Amino acid sequence: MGLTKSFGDHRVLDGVDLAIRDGEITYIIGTSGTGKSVLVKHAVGLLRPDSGRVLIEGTDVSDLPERAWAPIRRRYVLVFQHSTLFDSMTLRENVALPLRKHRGLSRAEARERAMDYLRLVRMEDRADRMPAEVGPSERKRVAISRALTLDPHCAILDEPTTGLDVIASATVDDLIRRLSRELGRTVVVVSHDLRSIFGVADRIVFLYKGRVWLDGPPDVFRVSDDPVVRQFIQGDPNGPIV
Amino acid sequence: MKALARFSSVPVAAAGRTLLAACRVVGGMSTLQVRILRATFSADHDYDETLRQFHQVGVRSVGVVVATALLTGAIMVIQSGDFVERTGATSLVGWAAGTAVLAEVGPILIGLMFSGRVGANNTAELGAMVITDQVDAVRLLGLDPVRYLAVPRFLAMIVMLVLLTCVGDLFALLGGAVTCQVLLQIDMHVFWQSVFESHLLNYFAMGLVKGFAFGGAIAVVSCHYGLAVKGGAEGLGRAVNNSVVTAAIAIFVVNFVISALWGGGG
Ligand SMILES: Nc1ncnc2c1ncn2[C@@H]1O[C@H](COP(=O)(O)OP(=O)(O)O)[C@@H](O)[C@H]1O
Ligand SMILES: [Mg+2]
Repeated sequence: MGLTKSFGDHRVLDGVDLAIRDGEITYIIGTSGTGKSVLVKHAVGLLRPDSGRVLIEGTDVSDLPERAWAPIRRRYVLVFQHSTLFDSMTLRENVALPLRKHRGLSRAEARERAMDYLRLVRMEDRADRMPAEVGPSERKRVAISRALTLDPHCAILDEPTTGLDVIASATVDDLIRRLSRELGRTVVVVSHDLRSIFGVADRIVFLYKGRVWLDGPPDVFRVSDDPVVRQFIQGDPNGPIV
Repeated sequence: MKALARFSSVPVAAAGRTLLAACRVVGGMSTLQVRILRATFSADHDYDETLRQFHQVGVRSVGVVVATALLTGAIMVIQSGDFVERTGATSLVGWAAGTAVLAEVGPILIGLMFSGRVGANNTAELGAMVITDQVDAVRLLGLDPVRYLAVPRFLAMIVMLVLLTCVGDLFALLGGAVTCQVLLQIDMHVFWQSVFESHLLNYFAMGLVKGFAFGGAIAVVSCHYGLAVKGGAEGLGRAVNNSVVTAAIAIFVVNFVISALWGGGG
């Protein structure tokens, strides 16, 4: 609410007002560098607002100490846009780690359960490789499955399909849909991927110049005659966005 | 007067800044030290990560420590050889070399080599994890980076450096014995006998205490610089450099304190 955040002189967020609705799939879109990643990092306490408030389930979490964030982060998971897998562990060990730490599973049980989560992103056949031995698109999918082991109330995915081939993207889109429709989870996705935006979103939030420029269901965006929105959706090199 | 004030304020300001920066580093390390200790003495350790650290630390450092120790022992014997030759007190060779190696030179050199190898590597590894957001990933999984990353390294470095000091002592004495025989033409038995008769246990114990303290110091310093990395690859290089230099200073300070407190007793 009224979120602002600057790095030095550079004001990235300039009064963002946004409320995520439970159970919905919300897409946050906008050109590169508008601060989508900065915005979602506020939701899990990796960044603190300069001014404005962050509320989670009605509680003001803007000034919580680091210690208090741990339980929140298990309910509200964030997956970064680049892979943050631990490169000293195999893919399976990466996924098993939170199972071991938070579910009290033994090492063997956790390794077993990890396969179920890898199957969600179709990575079960490469489970015992190291992160460096698979491509960025595979790493990204494993990072998503690692976050889902926490059985979160809300999953925030930063550009989950960027750089993925069509089939891998469809797997992730499918997963997002299942999280919401079958499991009733809240999903927030940062994306540029028009195909998945219009295929999956319940609601789209368009971030531009540090503010929410347009906010509504996909149909609002399809018919919008705002030049900025039109240019973004049509991918036109000419227009107000430079 | 004004010119004078401006002139004198430059070095004063610079000194003030340096002092402030030093306080920040010391403050940061003390905080980390407290957090590590608190987490160390609570339940819930990550055995997998601790085991991996033990393995890595051990594998990395055994080679350099053995090589350093052999040469240290040899050099100490050569040094005392001069004195032994002049006085003809061949039976003192083991005592002279042994006390120095076990209590002072051995732990320091082994500590420095350990810091250069394991400490530097630790800073680089944690720093790379910070830069690639893997440390944030630890936090996002609801885990505490100090508990999950720093504590296993702290334990591994302390235990390993104590063990390595034992191993190092053995190889240093071995190096000394061989040097005695080959270079000084004093029979190896004289050296060993001298070592055993000198009651070096006290010095040996002092060396182990130093190994323990150095291991802790290297761990705290290297974790601090690693977790505080900012500014990409360049910042990482700077952090590794700072880590090794600071650890070396810490080793000398800690060494002085322990030697002074221990007293001369033998
Ligand atoms: N830690 C940081 N320090 C300084 N500038 C940052 C930092 N994180 C992001 N920025 C700046 O904030 C802006 C928005 O970044 P980001 O949120 O990553 O954009 P995107 O919408 O592509 O995800 C960029 O101009 C970036 O340079
Ligand atoms: Mg981004």
